[in-house]
Amino acid sequence: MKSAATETDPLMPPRLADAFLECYCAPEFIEAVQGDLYELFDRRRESKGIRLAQLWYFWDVIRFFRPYLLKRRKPDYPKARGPIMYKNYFLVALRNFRKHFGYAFLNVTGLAIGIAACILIVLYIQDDLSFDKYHEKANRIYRVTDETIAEGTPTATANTYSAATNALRNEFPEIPNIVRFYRYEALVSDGDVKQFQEPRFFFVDSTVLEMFSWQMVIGNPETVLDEPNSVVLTESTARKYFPDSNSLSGYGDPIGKTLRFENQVDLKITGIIQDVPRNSHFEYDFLGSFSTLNNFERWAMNNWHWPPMYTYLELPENTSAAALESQFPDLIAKYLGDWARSQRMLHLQPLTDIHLTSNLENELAPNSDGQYIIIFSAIAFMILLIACINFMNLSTARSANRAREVGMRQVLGAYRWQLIKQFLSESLFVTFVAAILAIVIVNVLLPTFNDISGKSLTLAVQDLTFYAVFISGIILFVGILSGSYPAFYLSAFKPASTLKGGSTAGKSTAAMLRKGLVVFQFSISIALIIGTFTIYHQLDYMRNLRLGFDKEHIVSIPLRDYTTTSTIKPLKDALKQNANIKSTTISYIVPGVKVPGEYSILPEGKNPDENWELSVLPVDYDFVKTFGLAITDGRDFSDEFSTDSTAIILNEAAVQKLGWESALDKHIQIGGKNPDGAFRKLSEGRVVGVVRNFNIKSLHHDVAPLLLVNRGDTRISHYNYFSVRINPGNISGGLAFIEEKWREYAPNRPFEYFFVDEQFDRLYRAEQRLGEIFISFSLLAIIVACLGLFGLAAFAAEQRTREISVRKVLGASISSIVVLLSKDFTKLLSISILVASPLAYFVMNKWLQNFAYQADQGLFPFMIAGILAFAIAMSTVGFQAIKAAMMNPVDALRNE
Amino acid sequence: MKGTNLGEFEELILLTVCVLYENAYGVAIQEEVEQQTGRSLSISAVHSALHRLQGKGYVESWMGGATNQRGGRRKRYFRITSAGKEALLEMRRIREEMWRRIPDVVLEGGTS
Repeated sequence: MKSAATETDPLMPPRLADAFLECYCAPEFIEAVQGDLYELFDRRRESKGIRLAQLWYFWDVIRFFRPYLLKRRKPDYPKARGPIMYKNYFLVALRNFRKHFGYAFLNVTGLAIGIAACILIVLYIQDDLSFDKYHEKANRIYRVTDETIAEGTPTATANTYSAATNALRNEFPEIPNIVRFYRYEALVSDGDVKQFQEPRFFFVDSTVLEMFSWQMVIGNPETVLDEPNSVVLTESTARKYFPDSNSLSGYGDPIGKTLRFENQVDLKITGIIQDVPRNSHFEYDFLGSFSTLNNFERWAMNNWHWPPMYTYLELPENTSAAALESQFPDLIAKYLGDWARSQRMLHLQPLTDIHLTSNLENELAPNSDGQYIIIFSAIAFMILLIACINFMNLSTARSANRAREVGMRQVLGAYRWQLIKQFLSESLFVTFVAAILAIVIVNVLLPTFNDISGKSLTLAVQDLTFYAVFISGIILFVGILSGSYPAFYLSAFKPASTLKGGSTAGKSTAAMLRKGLVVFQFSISIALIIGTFTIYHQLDYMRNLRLGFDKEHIVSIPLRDYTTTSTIKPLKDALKQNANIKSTTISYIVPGVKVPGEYSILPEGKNPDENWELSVLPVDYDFVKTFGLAITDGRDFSDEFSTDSTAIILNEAAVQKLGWESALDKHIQIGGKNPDGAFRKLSEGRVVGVVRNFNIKSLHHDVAPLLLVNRGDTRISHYNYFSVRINPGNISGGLAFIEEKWREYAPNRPFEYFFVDEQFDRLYRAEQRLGEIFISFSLLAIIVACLGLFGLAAFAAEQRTREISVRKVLGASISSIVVLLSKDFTKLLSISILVASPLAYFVMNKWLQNFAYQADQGLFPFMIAGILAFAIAMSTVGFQAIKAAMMNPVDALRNE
Repeated sequence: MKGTNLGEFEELILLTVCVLYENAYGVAIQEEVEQQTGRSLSISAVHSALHRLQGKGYVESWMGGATNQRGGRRKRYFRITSAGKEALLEMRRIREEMWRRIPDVVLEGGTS
């Protein structure tokens, strides 16, 4: 009313002074005061001119600035206080709910999905944060990690070595407890029929249970591991070896019985311990006493280089980890010599940080990736935001329906804040209903989510207060976020215009904002779809990329120790007899599983002072053939040449790195570095051939220079894997034959095998998981966004019922009406695609930087995502449009 | 509001409200006072005096009908209450009593 006219009309009093007056003057006085001032202003303008009148006006306004006008009077009539109005709000909300059930349903479902996504993510994060916190001394336990700097390249490993513990015990007697975990993958049998390969067998120091709060079921935690040849089983393990269905625990009484370890030692069972909680950074099945190693692996008891031991220490009171760590270099210097200061380091890592942040070499189990937590949280929040936007959009779009009610309330004396309170409480109510539904949804989705995330989350009841606080927090946040805009929008209606029946849902700023929000929703959804497709595109690309070797149809069998490898030669010969077996080989590693070791080498014609560190992979004569490598220069190993028993084949990357025109017949020494830096030869050989680059690591990495060195099939200790290429025509037949022969030649070893291509695919498990999460969350996002769109389209069609009817009467076709109704949304969707594409491109491009081999991002994901979003959104809108277009015009026009 | 005594300015305004009878609102009162006394008043002073008088219960007010003048703002009209009348009459009685008691000699010779 006092809007544009006042500012443009020079005959009116100055706007500034008026605004000042309006701001300080009590509402019950303002009208008379302002009226009088206007009257005076008019007179003065006529008698003395506009300038003077304006000055006078200012002066008067200032002089009116008196206490009595500043004071706000209490209302004359009693305010409706307390529950009365809330009861009314609730009742009206409920009625609205019932009357417009469709819209309410869209709102509640959308919000419920959004809240459910948030609950899932919070469960996930909460679980991640709880790792290793259950130990009583969790805050004082640190893991000792090792860092080796070779040729300027630091390698940090999660483990250190047994001698470090001995040194620490000597130098820092104030450290209350240091415990080593030595993982020893072993063959364990009950001496009878049960025999398993056990990857989670650990030898530990006897004080382990004084440091970690794992609960013993049977046995004295202080003494169970004191004796050599003692072993403690977890309950699951006890069930595995000593099942007893009659016993409540599921196992009989194993205490005092023995288990045969590696067919070498009998270990006496001295205790049963509860299974390691899932929220631990590693788990075990057996704990053997460390002193057992004295009997058959004495050399491992005090060694600075091998085997790796996971070492934990309890920090002394009144010492900080940093203070202790700062003394480690001196310790290293004392025990290894001064030269080691710059090459060998020990670090302390808080136990409770391991799962969340640690990503060192040789981790006992893969840890959490903080990046994922951020991605998950962001996506869950986005979905919640989309749901909130639905609520805002539907509320404001349908405000016309509530306008009369608002007008009536205003006429009957409702203050604006009361209306705001009403709508806020209404949205809180809707959110509350949604939250209840969300809990149901979470319960339904939890198994699937656990599958994807690799966790075992539950809605545990013991954290009731946490959930209560968290859920009410979410309700408050969502309720206020999604309710505030409609509340302020609706409460600002002018009763006179709403009651007269004027439309409030016109082409106002509200409608513009609504469109903006729809664009926002769909931009997020489309970006998520693009992300999904990019991830799968990349995965697909990596699976199908030529790796430089033929990964199909190769079976690999891990060789566990020397006793079996000595049987390999006769086994190889036996297998060659079968038509289903194409070729067999033994090698240090196979591509996709582990990586070859790095060695110092001294190539022909290079200065001994230069540092050449290259990967060296010991293989036998048939490796190139079995893995299908392509020889680009020279020849394959061949037993026809006696010199080939030490021959070397390089890959192209190695030739390039060494800078040789032709590598053939070059002489290379392989060895290590002495502490003084001098080269120490371990073996030597001549290059007989060059193979095309092939990938040993995942495609995150480029192909590194590599030496294939022939070790024949006699020096069997170099090998860890026995690989067989099977005829693709008869895989199962070939596999059966291998198993038969294996049982014949290695009867005391379980037959375990894997396919190399499957193993290679498993390198992309993290990406696979990311893809699955993106798929499910973008599905949720698009569902929620479409719920909103569905509501808006229904509303738009409802608004134009008469228009559609008239058009139909005048001969419009159904298709033209569908087009008419869909046009607006098409525009919004197109804008969304334009917004989402560069955003998604940027983010996904960043993600692709993780890979050395990137799929061409191209237009493919964008087009697919665009088309998909279009199809989904248009079928939503189209459904409403067709419904509206099919309607009989008589129904709408009958009343006219 | 404390006190019920009538200040000089308040008395003047109250009298003007009586004079204007059914037409007593801010600007009219200000105008009337200016015309009768030649005193120049600010409109805010008038309003605040009226506010005080209303607080003492000497005047009552009501909002006039809607109008197209004054930017659409209604006028607040004032009228004297019986308490106001009593106070005015009492003031007048006191004044007359005082006049009567002034010895003639004091006022002889006109103003000096």
